[in-house]
Amino acid sequence: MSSNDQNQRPVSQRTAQMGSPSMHRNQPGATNSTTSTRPTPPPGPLRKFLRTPKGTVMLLLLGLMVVGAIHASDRAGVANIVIAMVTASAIDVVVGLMRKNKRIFPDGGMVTGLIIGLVLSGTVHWPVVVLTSAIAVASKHILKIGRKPIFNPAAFALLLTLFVFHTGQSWWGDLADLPVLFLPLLLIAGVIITSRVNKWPQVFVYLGTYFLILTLAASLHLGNASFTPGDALRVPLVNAALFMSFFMLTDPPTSPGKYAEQVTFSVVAAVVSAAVYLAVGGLAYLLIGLLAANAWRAVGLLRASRANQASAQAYTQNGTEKAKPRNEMFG
Amino acid sequence: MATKMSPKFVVLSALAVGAIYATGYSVSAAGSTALAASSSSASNASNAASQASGSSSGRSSSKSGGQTSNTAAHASRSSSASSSSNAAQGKSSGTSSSPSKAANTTQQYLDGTYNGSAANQIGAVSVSVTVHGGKIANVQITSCYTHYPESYIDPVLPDYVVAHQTTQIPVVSGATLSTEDFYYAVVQALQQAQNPHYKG
Repeated sequence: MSSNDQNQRPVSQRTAQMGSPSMHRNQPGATNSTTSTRPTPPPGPLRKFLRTPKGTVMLLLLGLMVVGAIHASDRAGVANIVIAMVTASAIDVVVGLMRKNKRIFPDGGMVTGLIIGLVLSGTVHWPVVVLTSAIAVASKHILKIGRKPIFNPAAFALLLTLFVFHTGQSWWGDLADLPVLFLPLLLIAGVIITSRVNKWPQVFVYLGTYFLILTLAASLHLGNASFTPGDALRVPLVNAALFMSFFMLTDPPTSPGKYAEQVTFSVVAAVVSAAVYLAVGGLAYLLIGLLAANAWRAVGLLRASRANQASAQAYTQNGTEKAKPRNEMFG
Repeated sequence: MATKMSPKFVVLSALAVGAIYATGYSVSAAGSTALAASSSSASNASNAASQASGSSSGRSSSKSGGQTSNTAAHASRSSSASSSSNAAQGKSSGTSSSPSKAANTTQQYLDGTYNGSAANQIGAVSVSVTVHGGKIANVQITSCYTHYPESYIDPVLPDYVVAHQTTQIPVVSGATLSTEDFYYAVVQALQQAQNPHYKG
């Protein structure tokens, strides 16, 4: 209906339909009487979830899964994702029930399973997928400082199973098997999630440092014959680096929030990743770099906690304001 | 949580990272990749690579799209390079050994052991194909310098070639590019084994 039609109707009808301006001022969600006729309904639980960082990353990863699976007709990869998500979610729910958590919806487990499924090859047998997911969730609940996990769960489990079981990791979720025209999809998804979790410095510093080291290594002819710096800057390895930096490096529970700490974190991850790649190559260098940065952060957190405990003791003894503990995580 | 970066700074940072990447890409483009390294080894093989790429690109293009063209282009490039290097290196490269040059017309392949190799962006695969009695008796992956485990394709694909006496192998899920490498390597080896008098 056009605005002219509305204006030609009696004032009483218009008022009955649109509501009076005074009503709009009092109703929550009403913005402008000329543009909005009804108060905006509150978002449903699904929309609320999708607005969270975990909901956003899950949606984006599912999108990558669909694109990758349709192009490659990789049903086994999708099956692995389902298996990984169900396993991780089930363990998360059980742990939540045991701890009597108020919120037991396993969104973290679902994201972890999704990442694992997108990294593992479709040729990996389902028991290995189950085991990898179980290790990931177990590491999240066991290896932690305060309430936050030390290591990225998916990276920890993928690295462990790569070394122990030699699991095939194709990183098919990074769309490397697709023509390069699909690469913008990965970049767009990465931009969305990086902006959503506010990790721009982390991603830029990681990619900048990683590419810079590889560029210098290529200039100096470093690396070995099978794993040259040039390979890491090309498909498919560069896709894996982008996927890791966008969806694993930015994991809020296992990465710092402050910009300065994000920079340090990313430098450690990039230097270790590039060094491992240039030294031995293989597939694990991205995961090793990320876990090294996680460990670096854990050491920093432990030092901070000890310093805060000392401060707390001094505070209780002296009662001075200067000695008041200021740790966000342990305070 | 820190305050958000301004969009301008985000764009500038993205441009800076992109510039670093472009520099690294261009610096490493001058033959420093494993692809280029393996092309020199591939050039040891016969000049039949161009035929191999030509005959096989049609098959593989339906499987892996644009990436196949890279492989085909590489195979052609290595073959053109090999035309000059073959004269110098000749059979010292060990591309084939003791082929029986009997002029029979019933066997598609001549007996002997033939080597082939192929490479693409994930690395290089070399194979050794043994022909006995005109049939493919054994296929062995002699080197697999790919970024993914050799176990993806070994022994599945060599066994398939021997069992079915064909190069029309299925693409291993999750190892499309490794499969391509293996395929081109086998085709290259069998091109050398081709019996010129075969009238099948």
